[in-house]
Amino acid sequence: MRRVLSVAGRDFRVEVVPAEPDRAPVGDAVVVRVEGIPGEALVRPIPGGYSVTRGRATREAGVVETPSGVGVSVGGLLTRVDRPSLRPAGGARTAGAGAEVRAPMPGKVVRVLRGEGDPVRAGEGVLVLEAMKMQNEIRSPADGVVATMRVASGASLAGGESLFVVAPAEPGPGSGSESRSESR
Amino acid sequence: MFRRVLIANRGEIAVRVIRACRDLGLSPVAVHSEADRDALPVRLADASVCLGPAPAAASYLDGERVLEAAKVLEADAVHPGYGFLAENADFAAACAARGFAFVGPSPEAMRLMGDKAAARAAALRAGVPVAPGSPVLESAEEARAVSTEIGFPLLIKAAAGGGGMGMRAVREPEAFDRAFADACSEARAAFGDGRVFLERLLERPRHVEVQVFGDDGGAVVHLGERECSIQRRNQKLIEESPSPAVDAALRSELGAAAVRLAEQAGYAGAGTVEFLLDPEGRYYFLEMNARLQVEHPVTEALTGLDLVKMQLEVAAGGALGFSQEEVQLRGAAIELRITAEDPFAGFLPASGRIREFRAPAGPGVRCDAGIAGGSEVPPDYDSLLAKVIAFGPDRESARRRALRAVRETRLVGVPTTLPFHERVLESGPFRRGELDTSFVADHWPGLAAAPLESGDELLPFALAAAAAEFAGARPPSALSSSAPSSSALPASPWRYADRPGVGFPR
Repeated sequence: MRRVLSVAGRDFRVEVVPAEPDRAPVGDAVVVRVEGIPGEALVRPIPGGYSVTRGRATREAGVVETPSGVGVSVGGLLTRVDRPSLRPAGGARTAGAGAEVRAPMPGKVVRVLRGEGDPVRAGEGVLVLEAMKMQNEIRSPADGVVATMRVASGASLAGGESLFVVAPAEPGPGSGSESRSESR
Repeated sequence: MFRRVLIANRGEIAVRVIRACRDLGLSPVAVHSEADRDALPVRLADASVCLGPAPAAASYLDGERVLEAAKVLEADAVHPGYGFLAENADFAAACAARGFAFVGPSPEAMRLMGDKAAARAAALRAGVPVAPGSPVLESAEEARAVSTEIGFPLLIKAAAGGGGMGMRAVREPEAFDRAFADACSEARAAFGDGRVFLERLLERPRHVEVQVFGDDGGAVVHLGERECSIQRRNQKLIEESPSPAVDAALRSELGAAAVRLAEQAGYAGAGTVEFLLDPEGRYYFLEMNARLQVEHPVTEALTGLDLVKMQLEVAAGGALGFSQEEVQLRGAAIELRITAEDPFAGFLPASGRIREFRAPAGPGVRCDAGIAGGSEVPPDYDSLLAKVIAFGPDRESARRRALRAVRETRLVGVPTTLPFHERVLESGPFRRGELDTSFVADHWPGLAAAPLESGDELLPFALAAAAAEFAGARPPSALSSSAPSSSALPASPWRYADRPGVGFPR
């Protein structure tokens, strides 16, 4: 079986074959070859992921599903590998009308710090989401103005919902820097 | 001694108390929320009762339900762990009124230390240094006048706050009036108590705390210090003892101050006196935590004591049984908090299912975990999953063992602070013991962005695992088939920082 895997925009051609002929690759060891990388890997399923042997080195890989493919952890390396069919066309995050920010986790909106039309800078907090007893500031991904605010204070979120959209600012005056007190 | 102890908590601390009960030959019984029906403490306890729905207010924080459970389960003592009801004086009093021993200090001592302004006054009475500040302020006018005396930057603190909650930093006089009004209304909303006071804000302090222990006979000892400067959002991530900044003279001075305060409060059981230590070695009382601390195993490693067992013995009327002179502190210990948070995404908490967990072990390594493979991490509670404590004859041995333990730990299913710990333990500032409460803000962004040395070598392993996964090589195991994992996961996806240079060539 041949596939193209994508890691951070870079494509890798991989080939997966059963380690033992005449057996289905489900639940058993497979051999993986990656074009451009010498050698092959023997991959055995273990709880939570795979045990991967290349040459004389065996490493444990933890695998979890992500919305676009899988996340793989090997040692301290975290790698997100896209499912080829689900790979986004590119640049979706900031394309079109602005950058859309979604709820990164289930939680409750405790405070909305910026309203529609307010200028924001990249990294500035736009609203505060409480989850797991912690208040998390959801920040603007870009300089601009809050074009759309889709949630209000008190809203309960399941995670993944669109929170707000930041659009590029019209050039013009306006400082956009208000005094802000830390509440820690 | 008690016969059966109800543990009014969850997660790793519930498991910790269960172990102490077993070691004393007592029967541990548990309570749990609907989200924790199959949690590890429930499986380890002799019996358990469901308190109610997942939200803490309807379960672990509902003192009445906890007391009903204690009655149903025929417990004679209640151990509150930390958090939830642990510092709730009314709950402690209700336990006593219903005939259950509360494993903790008296409600009076708890009330005194729970009120930050009263605790500050008690520290002053006990001759313990406090940062320049004020008592509770009655009006905005008075506050403004006092603020100019104290100077800026300063902190407005809620008397009823704690654990980093209800604090507000003000850096210039112009911002004071508004910040004061906001702080009062916030404190009223959050704690039902709008009283606030002022304290000078120390820049770049170390957080150093002293473990104290008292009994009903009035004996109080200290068990050395812990440095907990590595924090995010005012919550600790790494704790160690001894503090690299504390020598024997400062240790006995801090210890004596902490003991004076505990004596002043008539304190029995385990407690912690927190100090801020400035670069010149001056120390200031911060607050006293009237409970067991998350990081108590660090002290256990150096003293050889079992603090939870001692809590139970003292709560049953036992005496401490040793004097300050008999306390010996040996070696060094470092505790790492493994939390379900993504260190590459602002320590965003995550929930989900633990697919696989293998705890570290071996010489000089202890792991206190509240999870097992297959455990759910509900979104309703604190994100602490496990604590890894490494100890050795000196700090460098403890650091190497901590690093070994981090690399041996396998925890799949939710993002964790493991990569944070690996990078911090290897960093120059940590190795040199250069710690202060700005450590995470100062160093983590650089450490997080730095390419992983072994990245290029590990990428082919990761690609092979991903290829096998897409080819359907994973068997439909118990862990992946019982829940529609792929559709349940997006609520808490692994978040990867697509940061440059993490192993893959660009």
